[in-house]
Amino acid sequence: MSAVEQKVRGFILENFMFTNDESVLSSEESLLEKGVIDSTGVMELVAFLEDEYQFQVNDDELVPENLDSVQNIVAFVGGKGAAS
Amino acid sequence: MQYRIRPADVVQDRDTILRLWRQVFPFPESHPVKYDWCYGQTPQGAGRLYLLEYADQTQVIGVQGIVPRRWWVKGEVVGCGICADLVVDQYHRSIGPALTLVRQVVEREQQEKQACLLYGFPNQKSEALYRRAGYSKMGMINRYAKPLRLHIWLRRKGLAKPLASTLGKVFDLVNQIRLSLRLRRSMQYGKLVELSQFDARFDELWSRVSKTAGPMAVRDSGFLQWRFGNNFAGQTRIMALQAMDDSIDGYIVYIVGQNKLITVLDFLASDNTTVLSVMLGLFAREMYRQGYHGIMLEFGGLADIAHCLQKLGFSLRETQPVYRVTELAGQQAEADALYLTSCDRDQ
Repeated sequence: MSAVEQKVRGFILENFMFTNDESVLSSEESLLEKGVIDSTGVMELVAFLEDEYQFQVNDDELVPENLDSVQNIVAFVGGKGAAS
Repeated sequence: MQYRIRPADVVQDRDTILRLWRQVFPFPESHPVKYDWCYGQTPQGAGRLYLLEYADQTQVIGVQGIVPRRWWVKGEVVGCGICADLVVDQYHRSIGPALTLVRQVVEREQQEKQACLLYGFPNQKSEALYRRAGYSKMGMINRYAKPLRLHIWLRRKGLAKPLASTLGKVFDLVNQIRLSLRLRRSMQYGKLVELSQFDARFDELWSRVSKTAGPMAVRDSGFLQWRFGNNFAGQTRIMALQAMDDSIDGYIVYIVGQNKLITVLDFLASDNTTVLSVMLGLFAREMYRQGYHGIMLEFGGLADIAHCLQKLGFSLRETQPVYRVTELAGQQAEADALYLTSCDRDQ
């Protein structure tokens, strides 16, 4: 597991699922469909990513393809890192 | 864009909005009363509601309200609004709708110059949403508590009953002696009296206070009557510091909650040091005499008042940020010049 994935999983587990049990969160499943995060939760997640990785998430990047699963988030952070 | 907002018709869209409220807010039986109270005609003007719709289906899937308030800023009354009652339908809590709603409400209010200041009290989970929508922190509102019967609080902390009772009674006695010493010259400031209504003396007090006040909501009798007279169905009580000539130098509005806890909803004094300290001290003593267990109150802003509360034995329990967008009459509201109490929330 990459350092980014570890950080992202840790944030989601602690802030939205209130557990440290890694087994309850798979990397592929949809966070929105599973009800892990909602519209305000997405903004919390975005604020966390912006603070943690020092980049700006643009409005047009607020899409499920970037933020709806751990896997997508990790890829999105990787892409932003590469871009900067 | 997939979502768009439109101003609600307060009468025609009432049922739709109440349906959305029921998804989120507790005590549905109180919703119609709150709706009419906040979004009907108020002394501050009519409330405003904005609906979030699917652009192509005109299906209402969200709502946000702006509860009007009048603030006193640099000698002028300006229209402000409290952002309240944000709801997004449970099937649309995905990426985008809530942000679209909050952001477009701000844009619409700014375009139409509805309010010089929009402010709100987002909970921890909503802070990021509000920041993203353009809000920034205006200050903090803090919750303070003052135990009056310490043995109750010590027992809640897990202390054995006999020990809590003995220690509590000793501490209560010491606190009452300290308070009496502090209040030994309070007679010159008048006496604390219970009032049944917000009469013309409240206007006179507000007129005096407003001469030196920083940015704060107008607290005249019309506002106080609307804010506390109807909404709490006769549960609110008023204590005032009454001078020898029957004028008032301060007031405290409060309710008695569960477990004999007093919740102060608003307070104001003609000065924020001595008079306020005397009034709150007399109030604490009176509440102790009446057998209550503790006093809770919220305040945010002026450092003098926070200092006064701490000296009177109020300890800080919780703190919540207050966010704002747009400026106060062209001036940034300085956090430490504000005056915020529970009264400044939407309900």
